[in-house]
Amino acid sequence: MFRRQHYLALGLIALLALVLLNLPQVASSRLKLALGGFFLPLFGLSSASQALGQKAVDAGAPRAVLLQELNQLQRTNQQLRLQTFQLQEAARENARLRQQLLWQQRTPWKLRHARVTSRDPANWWRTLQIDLGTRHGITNDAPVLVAEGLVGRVQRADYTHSQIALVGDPACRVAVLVQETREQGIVVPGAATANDPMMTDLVYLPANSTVKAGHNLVTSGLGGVFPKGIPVGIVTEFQPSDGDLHTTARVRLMVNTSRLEEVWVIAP
Amino acid sequence: MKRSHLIALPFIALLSLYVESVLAWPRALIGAQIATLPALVIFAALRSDFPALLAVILLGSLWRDALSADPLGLSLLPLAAVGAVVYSNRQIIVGDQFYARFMVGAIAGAAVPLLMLLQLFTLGREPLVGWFFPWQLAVMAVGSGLLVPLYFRLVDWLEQTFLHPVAAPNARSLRRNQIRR
Repeated sequence: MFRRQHYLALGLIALLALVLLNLPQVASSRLKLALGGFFLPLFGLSSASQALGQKAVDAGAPRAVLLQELNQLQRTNQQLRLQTFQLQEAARENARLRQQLLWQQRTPWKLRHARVTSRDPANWWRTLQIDLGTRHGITNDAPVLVAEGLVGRVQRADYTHSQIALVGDPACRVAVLVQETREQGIVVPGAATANDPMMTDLVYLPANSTVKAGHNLVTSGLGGVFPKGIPVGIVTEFQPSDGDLHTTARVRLMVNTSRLEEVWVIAP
Repeated sequence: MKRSHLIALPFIALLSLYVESVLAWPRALIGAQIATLPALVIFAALRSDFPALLAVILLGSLWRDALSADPLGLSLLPLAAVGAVVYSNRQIIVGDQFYARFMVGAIAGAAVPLLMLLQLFTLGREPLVGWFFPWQLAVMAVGSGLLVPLYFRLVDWLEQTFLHPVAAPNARSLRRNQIRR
């Protein structure tokens, strides 16, 4: 059944695989970008049909419901504006104090809204793609978040799309701070992450750590990728160590990444 | 008939991969994403000719890796290995039976991810593989096994819809040809 040309073709495929697997990172990324371009019409079609469907739903919504929602939004807007006055005053005070202490001023976040277009077909990575890329000012390692907390970081920014490594993926380790005890550690994928993407481990806690279940984790700002203070998760389980240098806690992430449809990216 | 597979099968691979990457509910519901490519390669190995099989393996694996965080070219060798084994033995596989199609698809659905993981570990990567992986592997195997007969049905339907059967000469035209001679 197998002829000489078949063996030759298979040999060429094996050679091609070896070449591709040994390509430099930049060349591999460019090739992936070019190959991913074949999916762009399908993604475009999908987003256009979603927008059309949303328009149809909006057009069919009863006026009474819309007015009720409008009233509710106006009230929330007023509350948030009042809170903003307070926060602005605190920010001004913070800036003044930083100036007096000769500390570097904090730059405000430039947030870009993005839509989740696809997820990783492999079961062993936690990544997804968004519809923002380098042409929208997105760069590698830009933090990605939603209102509930941290989502991940930009792993590979292409021209029109970007790949996001979610918290819990081996490519996204987050330096965190326990808000209650001010102890620091790193959130990494744990034994349960493959089963439940919301469960991760907090490692490198001090041996005499006083962390308890229910304590909150926020980004520590160490490492320079994630700004300080973004909620990451809650400690669910902690067992003190028996003479080890470090201890580990189990953490439930704030964001359920399997249900994400929209995210915010902090542009540099 | 088979020449049309050279164009149709890569197109089906593209659409299948798109659907696979967009649908999030299988992972949320059963804990694993079903890989569509091994099943399509099995279909091509059982039904199509070698160029069509080669096109599915080459384009499908490159497109799949472009959507994934896997290194480019990772799925090429596993898919080629599975495709070559089935293609070279397709005379002894009862490819028209549902059970045979399911079994070959299921074996491919389990073998391809295992070979990919083997390559990942060889390359020094750290994929998320834990005690839950046997379940994921079982889901992928069963899913792939069920997809093979589905691909057969889909391509049968496409061929019936878009391709005209070759007209057999009737008795009268045959007789006329004989008289002319």
